[in-house]
Amino acid sequence: MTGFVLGRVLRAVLTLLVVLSLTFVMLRMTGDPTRMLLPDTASDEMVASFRAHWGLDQPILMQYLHYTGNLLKGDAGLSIANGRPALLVATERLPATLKLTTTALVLMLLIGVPAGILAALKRGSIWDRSVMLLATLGFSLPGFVVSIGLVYLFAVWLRWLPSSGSASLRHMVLPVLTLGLAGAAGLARYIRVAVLDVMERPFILAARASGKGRAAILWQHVLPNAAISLVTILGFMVAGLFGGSIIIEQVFGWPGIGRLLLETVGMRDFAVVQMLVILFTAIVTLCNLTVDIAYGILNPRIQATAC
Amino acid sequence: MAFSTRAFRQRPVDPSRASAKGQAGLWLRAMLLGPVTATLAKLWLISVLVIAIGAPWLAPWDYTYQQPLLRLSPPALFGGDSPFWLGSDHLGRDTLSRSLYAMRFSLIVAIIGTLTGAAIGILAGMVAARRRGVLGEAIMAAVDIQASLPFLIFAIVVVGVFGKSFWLIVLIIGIAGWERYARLVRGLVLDAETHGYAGALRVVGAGTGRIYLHHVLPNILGVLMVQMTLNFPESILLETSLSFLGLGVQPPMTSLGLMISESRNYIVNAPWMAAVPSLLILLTTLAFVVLGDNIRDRVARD
Amino acid sequence: MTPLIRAEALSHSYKTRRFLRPNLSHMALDGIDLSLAAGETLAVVGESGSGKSTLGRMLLGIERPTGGRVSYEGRDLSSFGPAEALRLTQDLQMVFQNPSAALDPRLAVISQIAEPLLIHKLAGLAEARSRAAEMMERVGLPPPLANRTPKLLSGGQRQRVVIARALMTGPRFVVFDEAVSALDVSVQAQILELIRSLRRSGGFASLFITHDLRVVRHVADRVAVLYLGRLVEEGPARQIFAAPGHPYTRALLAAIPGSPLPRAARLHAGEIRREVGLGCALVSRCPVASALCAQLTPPLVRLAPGRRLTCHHPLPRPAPRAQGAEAATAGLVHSVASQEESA
Ligand SMILES: Nc1ncnc2c1ncn2[C@@H]1O[C@H](COP(=O)(O)OP(=O)(O)OP(=O)(O)O)[C@@H](O)[C@H]1O
Ligand SMILES: [Mg+2]
Repeated sequence: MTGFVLGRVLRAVLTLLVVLSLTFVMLRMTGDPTRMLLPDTASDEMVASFRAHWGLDQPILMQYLHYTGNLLKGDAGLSIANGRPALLVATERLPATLKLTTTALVLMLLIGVPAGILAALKRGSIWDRSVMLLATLGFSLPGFVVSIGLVYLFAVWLRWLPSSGSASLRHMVLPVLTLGLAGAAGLARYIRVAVLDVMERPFILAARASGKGRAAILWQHVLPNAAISLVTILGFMVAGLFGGSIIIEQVFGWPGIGRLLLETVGMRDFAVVQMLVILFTAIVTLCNLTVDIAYGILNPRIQATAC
Repeated sequence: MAFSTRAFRQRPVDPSRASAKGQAGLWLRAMLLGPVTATLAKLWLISVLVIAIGAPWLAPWDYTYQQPLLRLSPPALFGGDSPFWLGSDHLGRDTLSRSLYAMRFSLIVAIIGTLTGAAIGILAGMVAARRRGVLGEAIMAAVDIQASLPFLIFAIVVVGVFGKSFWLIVLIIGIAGWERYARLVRGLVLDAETHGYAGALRVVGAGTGRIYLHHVLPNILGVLMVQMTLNFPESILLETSLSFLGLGVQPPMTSLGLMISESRNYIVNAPWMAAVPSLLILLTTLAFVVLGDNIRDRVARD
Repeated sequence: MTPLIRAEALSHSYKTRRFLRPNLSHMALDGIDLSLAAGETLAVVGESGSGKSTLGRMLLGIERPTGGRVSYEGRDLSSFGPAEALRLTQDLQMVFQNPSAALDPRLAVISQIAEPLLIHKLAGLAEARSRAAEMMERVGLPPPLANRTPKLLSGGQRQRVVIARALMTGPRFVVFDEAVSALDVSVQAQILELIRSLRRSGGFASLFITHDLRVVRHVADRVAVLYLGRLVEEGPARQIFAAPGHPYTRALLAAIPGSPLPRAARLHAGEIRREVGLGCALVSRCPVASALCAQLTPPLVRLAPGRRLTCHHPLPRPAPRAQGAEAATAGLVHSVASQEESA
């Protein structure tokens, strides 16, 4: 078990390291932002001192080592836009995103799992068809289309909810709904297949043949086994939620790290962009790690083959 | 947004379960998920192809032509008093013509992007299968890493850093999808090498190039086509998402995502600006998803 | 005369790499000496995992030995450069156990049979196809099958295709690795007959790998028995069948349905030893094992020209040749005794 966990942790660290290095190289590849940030009239000395100040005159390897070294000490550099520590700039927007994604995750599970189970148990019925139709619709729509539809319905037409901002709980409804429903659609499709898959396995047939009741089979065999396959894609769904949150935050003016990423990329605020990428990666990787370990505990058979 | 669920298998519906609940019920059932839906999906995709090729001839107006006096005209098709069937936008451009061109652009990008992803993935998968050492391990590590992270973040950073250009968007869409193909191809090639014809061909003296191009590739083409059908709507979604975020195509060119983004400030006064491109995206990705489910069912049945 | 193919002290160990743990290595072949003259057929028998396939692959140079060497016409296989190695695949060929897995499922069989000629640039497309058609006739495939894909052929027909492809370049040595074991018994007989007649007309030497001794009697000139990667017994086929010298060989013969040998000749159901260490690897299963067998690895003893054996307690040989056998056994006992002294 410890070997298994250790392997997963190593893999997570590797992921972070690869992402860190790649973004670092990429961000430095297009040259430095000096010219963009200084006025056109800036003298050569000004440019030179600006570059020296930000360490942009060093070879890239030195910059890289310097950066990672500082990062380990909790220093991710300063935002070029406003001179504040990048770590602070990034993390102070994190709670908003976490609030959005965790609520959406709960909504996604509350809707997607029962809907998928219902569709599977009533396979072929009108319930199944309707759930699958809705799920396929949601699965086929990009988040921004869904959000604009919801905005039109609830904010423009019904005037029940505000269309953007983050001042009150009511502002949260539409973004969470958009993100959660889209996730629920994919999840319902997946859960349906997983449950159907379990129901066709020999041990279920054997249980049925032995005269066990439907409910007993469902609760003792089908759902626990389907739960294992739910766990396997949970990490993947979480990654999807974070990817989706970027667009949702942009549409609804939600002040999270997704929107910050778009703002800072536009301004070439390297330090903050870098920090945000690391933050996103770290959160998603941590979720994946937790899920992997949970899966390893739920399903001890994989440990032997996992590494 | 579509949460693409990998390893997704949908079961064919058991026809014996579809006991008669009246003609209407049967029809509804058939329409909802039956083969009729697949036929409709195919018809729609053919029209999409016609649009993509024929946009310059089909469009009633020049899609960049601005008529400031006719800003935000309502669609004539729904009783509006304007020369535009589907209304005009905030600059007085024809929504229909713009949609046709946007469709064309989105489709071209998605097609080339999907093909690029397939090409990169096939190559990487073959290399990973052949070179099992450090190189192969590195490729598979890259596959695992990319699969576990939300790709949109990296797309945003890349476009933000390197600037918007057609080929960059295509490349990004390709890179978004390559890992699936790589994983798939590696598995198939390894299978052919260890328990299959590839190992046997080596014994007759065939080289890697010959085996992979003449034998393996034709044999796995079917599987790759299915994967591409599944991958294609994701390519469209990624392209439209990037355009929506202002990281895709540059005006005056247009794309479905960009049109929706432009419509956001006029959603109260000119809902058609959002509705038309939204509907096009929905129908197109839906058609692919339905078709993908259908193909997968048929493959699973065989 | 130099033999066509010769293995000297041939060993192979597979390494299994494990994550964060020491690698495992597994001796699949351990110090095998063998040689084959041109045109000769040697059968290699042994149960699953005894290293038969590994031996076949190494004799063809498909896999490199981790110890010892293989030579073809007196030349070490490892000394062949890439171009020469490619040339070598014309002379050394292999027929696999599962013909379905050895063929491209999508391609017409005639193209697959013709392919070796194209690979080695021995013919143009048209000529390659016409020669492939001739070969199809030789292996008994009717012409209408030429443009079918393997899926549409029977198992026996597929194996004929594989054999045809292997013979296209006129090889001098062919390894048949369980070439008939995936086939129905009636089809097995046909394929065996085909292989025999091809060998007579084609004049290639062959290594015939099988776990089924019944098959061997029909095709082999000589038989080599492997157990856990070691040569247990080797000799002319007729002698091996008439008078097995090793308890293990006798057990294999006794296991053939309808064998006249007593049940007592069979192996005990003992645990199979995986690690070959000190003592005879068979000790836990052997019906005639003694205390000596557990302590000392039996040496390989030459009983007669071309007749070799590794056992402390070889079986008595029948009367007509008793004298030679006794001498051999006496010598064996003597050599064991002297080893014991020195131990
Ligand atoms: N690629 C490999 N990696 C690791 N071990 C291997 C490999 N190939 C074979 N082995 C091991 O080497 C030993 C000999 O294998 P080999 O395939 O030569 O046996 P065999 O006599 O041909 O058996 P069978 O009758 O089942 O084909 C076995 O224990 C097997 O597990
Ligand atoms: Mg074998």
